[in-house]
Amino acid sequence: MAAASMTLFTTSVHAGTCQQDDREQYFVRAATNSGGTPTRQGTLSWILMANRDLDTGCSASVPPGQGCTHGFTGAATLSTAHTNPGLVSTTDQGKQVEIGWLEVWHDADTSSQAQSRKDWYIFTEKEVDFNCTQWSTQLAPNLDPNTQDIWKISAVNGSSGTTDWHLSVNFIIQQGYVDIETYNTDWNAGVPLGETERFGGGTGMSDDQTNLQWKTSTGTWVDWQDNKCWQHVDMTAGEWDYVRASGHAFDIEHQSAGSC
Amino acid sequence: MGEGPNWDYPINGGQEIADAGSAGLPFSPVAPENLGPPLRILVTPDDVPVGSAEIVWVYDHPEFGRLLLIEHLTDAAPTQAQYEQLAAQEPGCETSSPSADDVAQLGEGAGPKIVCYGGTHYFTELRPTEQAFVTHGDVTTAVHWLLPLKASDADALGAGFKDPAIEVVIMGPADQLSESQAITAAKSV
Repeated sequence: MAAASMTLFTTSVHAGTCQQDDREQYFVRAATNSGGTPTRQGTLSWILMANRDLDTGCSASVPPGQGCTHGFTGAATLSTAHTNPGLVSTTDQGKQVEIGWLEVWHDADTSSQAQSRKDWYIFTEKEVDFNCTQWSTQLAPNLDPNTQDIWKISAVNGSSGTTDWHLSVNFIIQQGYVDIETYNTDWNAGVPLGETERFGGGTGMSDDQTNLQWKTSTGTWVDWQDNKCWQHVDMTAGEWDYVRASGHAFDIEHQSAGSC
Repeated sequence: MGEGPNWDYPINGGQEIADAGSAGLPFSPVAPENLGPPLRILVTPDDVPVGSAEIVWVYDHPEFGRLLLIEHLTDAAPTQAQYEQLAAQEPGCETSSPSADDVAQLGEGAGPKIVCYGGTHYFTELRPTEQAFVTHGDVTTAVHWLLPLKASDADALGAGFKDPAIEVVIMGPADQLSESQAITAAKSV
């Protein structure tokens, strides 16, 4: 376990007794004015790039790219834009693509004399049959804590009737989209979602997703009409809550009066 | 990342029915004959889009354990293309050094890009003229195959589908259902 004095971010790291399954996750879905679940050709979210607490009790370094996040054993936290073809049928629920940022704790490494530290990565993922079939990570210094970046997923017709989902990010400091990944699928419209997840009992998941928009069939980006908490996976003491900030914005807050 | 299915009630808001004949779906389901009595049969609610309509037989099978048999509509060409793309993937990770563009776009000190492919995916022969597609990953093991749609069902679907077919899926928990068991179960359907 890394000593607090060795960390680069001593004010935002909490040591605890880690259980591997100390994991909490929120999915927030787009809703129509009548509360329905829309499927659209894309989704985007302005997500606050937070410097969240990480629980160094879960001190095993999390090697990015070890089985989406299913293989994570250390402290990590993430926020993403996300889309599934549907939330009702088994088949639809098992497919998804997402992009966002991932904050990871690394222990000190005496062999390389690396100090313990946090790193922020761009993270993408594709699932089929509920299985992680493809994912990517890349360390991105432009992920600047306390700024908002725009994460976009946009559908384009592919070959053989398939659909290419283009995943990109617009760092506010650069003012332009950067293509990160393209995932080819057999579904052509998805439910716009936002996702927040944390690993480690003392790890935080404070989230602020605003200016949520979906892409219409004519290619126009418009505000989500509303949003609703879709799913709360909680293997911890359940200290975090969903709060609807507006029709096209939501927060995840610590011990607020919200709920899923 | 997502979660696995609800292995007891996999359709969110699904309606329990007594037999496939009363499913009321926009296609005629093909009831399995050799998996024994299911725990339950579920269908999607009436208000889902046609493309999301689905029927699921939930089993506690004496040999295979918890098993879902799923049938839903699909367009054959993109589904087949997706199978082929997945089958061509080699599991493992590729690491590429940051390019000059990466540094310009992601910032000074951009790290290597790590792209990983998970799970195993391949085709197998289900019956002499019938191919199936097998997936095994961190959450589920599944076998997929396509059945032709009745002509009257295809006509009723209209323009929403280009080459509609019924996709049948046998699915179980990855840590309980092996690939060979899933293939055996699929062959027995």
